[in-house]
Amino acid sequence: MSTAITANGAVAHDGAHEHHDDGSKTLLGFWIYLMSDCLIFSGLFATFAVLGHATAGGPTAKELFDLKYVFGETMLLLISSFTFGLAMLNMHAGHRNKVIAWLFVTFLFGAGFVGMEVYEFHHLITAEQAGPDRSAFLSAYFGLVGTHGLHVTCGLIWLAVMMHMVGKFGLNDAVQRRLSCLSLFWHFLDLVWICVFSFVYLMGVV
Amino acid sequence: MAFMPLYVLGLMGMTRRMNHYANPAWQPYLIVAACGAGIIALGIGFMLLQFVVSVRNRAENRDLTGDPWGGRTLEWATSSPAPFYNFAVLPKVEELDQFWADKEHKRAYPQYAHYDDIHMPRNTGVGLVMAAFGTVLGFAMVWHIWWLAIAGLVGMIGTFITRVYDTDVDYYVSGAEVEKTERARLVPLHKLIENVDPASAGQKVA
Amino acid sequence: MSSQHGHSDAHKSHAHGSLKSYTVGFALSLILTVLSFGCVMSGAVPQHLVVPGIVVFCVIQLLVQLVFFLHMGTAPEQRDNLSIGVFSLLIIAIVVAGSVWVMHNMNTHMMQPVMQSTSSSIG
Repeated sequence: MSTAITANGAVAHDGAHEHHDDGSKTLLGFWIYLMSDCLIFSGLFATFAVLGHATAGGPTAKELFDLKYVFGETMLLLISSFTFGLAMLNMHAGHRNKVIAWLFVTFLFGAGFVGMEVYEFHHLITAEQAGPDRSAFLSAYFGLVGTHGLHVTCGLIWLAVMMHMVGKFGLNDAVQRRLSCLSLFWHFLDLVWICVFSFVYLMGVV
Repeated sequence: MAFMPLYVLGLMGMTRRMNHYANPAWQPYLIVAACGAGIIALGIGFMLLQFVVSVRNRAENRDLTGDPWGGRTLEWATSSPAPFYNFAVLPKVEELDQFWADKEHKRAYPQYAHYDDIHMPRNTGVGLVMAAFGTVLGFAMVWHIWWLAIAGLVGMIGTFITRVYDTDVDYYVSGAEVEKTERARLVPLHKLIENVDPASAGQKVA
Repeated sequence: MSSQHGHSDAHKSHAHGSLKSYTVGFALSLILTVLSFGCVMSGAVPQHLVVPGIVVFCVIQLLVQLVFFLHMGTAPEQRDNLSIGVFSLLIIAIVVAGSVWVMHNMNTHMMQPVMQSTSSSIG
C-alpha cells in the first residue's frame, strides 16, 4: 500500500470529456422534468374529472363553451407545433436565419393562442359572471386551462429569448441544446391541449 | 414503553393536556408510560455523557484518514471534508463495496504519476437569488399584494434569463493543482495506514 | 481524442425527423382534430358513440404527435425516453382513475343534500 501507483489518469479523462460534449443528458433530464409536469397536469385533470359537474347552480360547460372558438385556438397551437418542427429541421441543417424566422412564426401563432385564451377568460369572468370563484367546476376549469395557458406563456418568453440568442450567438452547442429542450416543451404543450380540448371542451358540451 | 401505552390510552378516551384525571383504568398504563419516559431520560443522560467523553478524548480519537469506521463504500475513500473536485480520478467501480475490496487488495487510496485537468462548474448565487425572489412572490400572492407579486415574478424570470446569457460558467482545475492537493493528503496517509489491515481500519490511527 | 468530438450520424438520424414526417404528423393531427370536433358538432354521429369517439381520436392524436413531433420510438437513443414516458403514463392513469373512483365512491356513500346551494358533497 505504500508504493505509489504510477498509472496514468488518462483513461478516466476521456470518459469525462465525452460527457460534457454531448447535450443528450440534458435532453433526457428535460424529458424527465416534462414527465413531472405531466403529473401536475394529471392532478389538475383528475380534479376537473371529479368536479366537472359541481356547477353549484351556476353556468354549465354546455352554456359557456363555444366550440368554434376552441377549434380556432386548437388550430393555432397545432400550426405552431408544426412551424416549430420546421425551425428544428432548419437548426439541424444549420440555417440560422431560417431558424429565427420559423421561431418567430411559431411565436405569432402561440401568442395568438394565448390572446384568444385571455379574451375567453376575460369574457367568462366579466360578461358571464363565470369566474373561478363561481363554482367548483369553474375553479377546476380555470386551474387546468389557466395552468396550460401559463405554460404556453412561459414558452413564448423562452421563444423570444431563443430568437435573440440564435441571432447573437448563432447555432452553437448551448443554443442547439436549448432549442431542443424548447422543442420538447412546445410539443408537450400541444399534447396537453389535445387532452384539454377533448376532455374539457368536447366532453363538457356533450 | 413510553408511547405504546399512550396509544392505548387514546383509544380509551384520554386526551392530552389533562390537569387531572378521574379514571382509575388509565393508571397502570400511565405508570408504564412514566417508566418509559424515565428510560428515555436515562438515554438522554447517556447521550450527554457521550458528548462530554467524546470532547474530552478528542485528541486520542482523532481520525486523519477520513475513514473512521472502516467504511465499505467509496464515500469513505475521500478526505473529510472532501476536496472541492471530489475525486481526482474517477474510481473504477466493479463491485458493490468497491472501497472495501480495494482495501482488502491493498490498492485503496491510489496515487497517480499524472493528474489531468478537471472540468468544474463555477459557483453561482443565482439559485439563491431566484429563491429570494420566489419568497417575495409567495408572500405577495398570499396577501394579494399584486405589485409585489409581479416584482417577485419578474425578478425570478429576469435572474434566470441573465444567467442563461452567462457564458463563463465553467473552468478547468489544472492537473498541477489537483496533484498538489492529492499528494498533500495521500503521502502522509500512506504512512499512516502502512501497517493497518482493512478490518481494523476503525482503530485509532493518530 | 479528436474523433470523440465529431457528431456521429447515427446519433442524428433518428431523433430529428424530416419535413415529410412533420408534414404527415401535422396532416394526421389536423384530420383527427376535425373528426373529434365533428363528432360533437355535426350531430351526424349516434349519441352513444360520441364520447368513445372523442376518447379514441384523442388517444390516436396523442400517439401521432408523440411519434411524429416528439420522435418517440423504439430506436436505441429513444428507449430511455420511451420507458420513462410509459412509466409516467402509468402514474397518471393511477392518479386520474384512482381519484375518479374514490370520489365517486365517496359521493355514493354520502347523504344527498336537500338544497343544491348548500351542498357539501362534491358533484
